[in-house]
Amino acid sequence: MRLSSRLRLFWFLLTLISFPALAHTDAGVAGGLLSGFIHPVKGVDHLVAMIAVGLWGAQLRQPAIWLLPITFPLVMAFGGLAGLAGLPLPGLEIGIAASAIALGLAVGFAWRAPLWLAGLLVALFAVFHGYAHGRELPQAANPLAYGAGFVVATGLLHLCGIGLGALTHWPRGAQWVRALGVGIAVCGGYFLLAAAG
Amino acid sequence: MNRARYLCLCVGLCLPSLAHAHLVSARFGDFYSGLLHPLTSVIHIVPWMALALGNGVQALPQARCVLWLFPLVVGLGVVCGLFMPPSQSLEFGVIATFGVALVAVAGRALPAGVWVLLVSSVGVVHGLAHAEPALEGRALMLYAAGVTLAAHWIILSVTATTYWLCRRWAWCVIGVRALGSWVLAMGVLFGGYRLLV
Repeated sequence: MRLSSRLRLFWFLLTLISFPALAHTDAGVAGGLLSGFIHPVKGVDHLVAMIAVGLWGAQLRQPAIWLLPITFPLVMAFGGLAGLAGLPLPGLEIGIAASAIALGLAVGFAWRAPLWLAGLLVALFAVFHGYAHGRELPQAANPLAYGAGFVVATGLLHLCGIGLGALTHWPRGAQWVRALGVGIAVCGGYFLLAAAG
Repeated sequence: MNRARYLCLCVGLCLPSLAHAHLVSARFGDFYSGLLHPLTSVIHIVPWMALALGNGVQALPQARCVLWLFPLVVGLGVVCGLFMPPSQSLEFGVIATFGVALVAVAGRALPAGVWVLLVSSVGVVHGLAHAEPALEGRALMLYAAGVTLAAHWIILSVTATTYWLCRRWAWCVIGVRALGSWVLAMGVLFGGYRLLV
């Protein structure tokens, strides 16, 4: 009898944490915005690379802390255009995985790259991420809302990276940030293996 | 006393009034229609916010001037739009106004004349884009007043917030630059989408 009431409580709690079905995610402006916003967050390969950009910017301090997160969405938009236009970009998944590895290692080794080189690397990787987003853009119900969604999500992920990167002001925090960078590089390695089949 | 309060609350809940979801059918319907049109359209509200962000980093006299200049030009554009033939190029004009975000990305004040000219151009394009040829007389004036008020509200609130924050914390200028880059990225994506797809 006691077990039965517990089971009932369990089932009751399960019903409280149920999620909506979201069968039509791409319908209308709201759907386009939502699917665009979720795309970089749901794709872990995008997510770790975006956070790594913020972390690296925070490690490099001024002016990289704002220059890298500005460079990324701008160049990503042009990558998105290439995807829209259907231009060929071989090794897309490998490029995205490589971005996580390279940026993760840069954070892991606290690489003090010159500003121009850091900007160039981030811009190069942004093309791959933008291209992947751009390829999915025409399927969204509202392209502007979709674009706005994934640009905002990308920017917020950079912000998360910068926020975590603030730990570099403390010696122990700097070690944690570097460990996080190594973790991102390991994730990138996994994605690279998966992309290579 | 408590019971009396509960009773009042109960009676209040039992006396619901109509929601008036369709304000267009009310007396000031055209006013609300004009007010909500730019606020519910991503293609209008995003460049307006970018313009307001740019305005927040201008010198105080220019910023003050734009607070009334922009809504006025938008309102005039709405009225003038009645006398102009509908044009497909107007949409590309609106997309081009995403470029005003460059001022926010630069995070610097422009010469007064240049800024006023830029704001006027953006206002005219958006005003013309809001024109509703079906409206005339009192309905048109109400609609134009609604659009003008929306423009004033957006410019005033975002400019005031940006100006206040940027004068207090220097790092807020970084935020303005980042937000500007997001808007530019959205403009590139949407413009590319309209041209290529």
